[in-house]
Amino acid sequence: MGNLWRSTVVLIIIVSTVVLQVLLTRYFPRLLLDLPLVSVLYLTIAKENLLWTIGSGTLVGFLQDSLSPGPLGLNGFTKISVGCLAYMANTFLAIDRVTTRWGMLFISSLLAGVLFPVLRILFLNRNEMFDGERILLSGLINASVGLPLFYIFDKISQSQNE
Amino acid sequence: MKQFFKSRTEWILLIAVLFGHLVLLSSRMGRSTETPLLRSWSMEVAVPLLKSVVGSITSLSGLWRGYIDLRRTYQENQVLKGQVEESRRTIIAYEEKIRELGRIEALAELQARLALPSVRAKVIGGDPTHWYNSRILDIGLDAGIARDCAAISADGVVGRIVQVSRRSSVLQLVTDLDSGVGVFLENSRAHGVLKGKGGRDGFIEYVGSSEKVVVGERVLTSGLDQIYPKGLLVGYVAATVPSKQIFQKIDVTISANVLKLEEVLVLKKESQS
Repeated sequence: MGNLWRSTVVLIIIVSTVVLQVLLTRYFPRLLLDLPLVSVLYLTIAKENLLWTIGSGTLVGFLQDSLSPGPLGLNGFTKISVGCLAYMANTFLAIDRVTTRWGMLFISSLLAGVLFPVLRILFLNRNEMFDGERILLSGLINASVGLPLFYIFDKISQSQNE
Repeated sequence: MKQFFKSRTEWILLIAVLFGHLVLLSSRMGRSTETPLLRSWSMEVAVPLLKSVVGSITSLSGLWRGYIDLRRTYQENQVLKGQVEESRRTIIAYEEKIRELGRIEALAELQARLALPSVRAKVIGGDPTHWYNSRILDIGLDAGIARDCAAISADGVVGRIVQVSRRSSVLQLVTDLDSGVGVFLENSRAHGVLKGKGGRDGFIEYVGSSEKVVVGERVLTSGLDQIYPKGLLVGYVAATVPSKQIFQKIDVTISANVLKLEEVLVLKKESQS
């Protein structure tokens, strides 16, 4: 029962990040923040279980693709791929310090920023231009916002365990 | 020396009589328009004294009210501050309502002018990624809209519906990288396809290099894509990029403020067939 409750809370948090993202981009269209990616990365390093990465990446990606003009599967593939790389990094490095967490968020965001247009070129036959400045800025924003969010998620997780 | 006054009674009597005489003298003098002498002497003595006493009382009272007894003043100040804040909030709310009514009125006028079946929609969300330029609307199949319905605002074309459910839909903006709108230039009548660049800009492709394009020229929908009705304003030519290729590239500023959309008008599909 405890596990079911915890899983439900995680599910609610994941859906909330997508809803919050939709609201934020309604009022700040140029915002380069990707809250759902941050939530997937957190679950990856917190649960240390690839199934969580795959499950959360799929759910988040599906929700994002459903609410955007793009085809289903693009965001899911990106989130799962980046999540898996973060999982592998977590097995080699202890991603529990501020610097390593920030670095992981930054690099993961850069990878997502490159992978998404690559997928669009490969599968949708689009002529994509890689905007380096935009990808870099997105990485910085995601890392800076994601770090305090990680600590908030930690607190929620600790209160659940108590 | 003989004792001049034998008792106190005599003293008193003397003073009283003298005083009586003076009063009498004063009353006689009062028959003229001037102030009687006794009255005048009384005033000259009493008034300065009265003035100084009353002045002191007034100063003390002012000091009390102005500096010492400020308890009530502080409470009144707090109450008034609260009222001012509430009034300010009410004014802001009313101003926002007025702006919203203005937008709705503009859309209603556009709806009446177009004489095409349409329905108003409110923007309730943005894109859940930061890769697309899209918005989420609060109407769907139940309101009679479908995929590829055009959406416009009072300022011009905004985009088209790409995803639709029963009660909501996803609007792809004309500035989206995947968007394509059949357009023509008002003066040169050259046809092309408007593509999105993100932000508030787009560009037109497939316009021949020999076509003369003027900066500021209006860009209108051609209707050839079977999505947007012909003749709707899309934007204005911002710049032309000279090219030795077959086609020139034309930068366009979208007329509708797609970054700050609140309400749009969705044209129903039957009107475009």
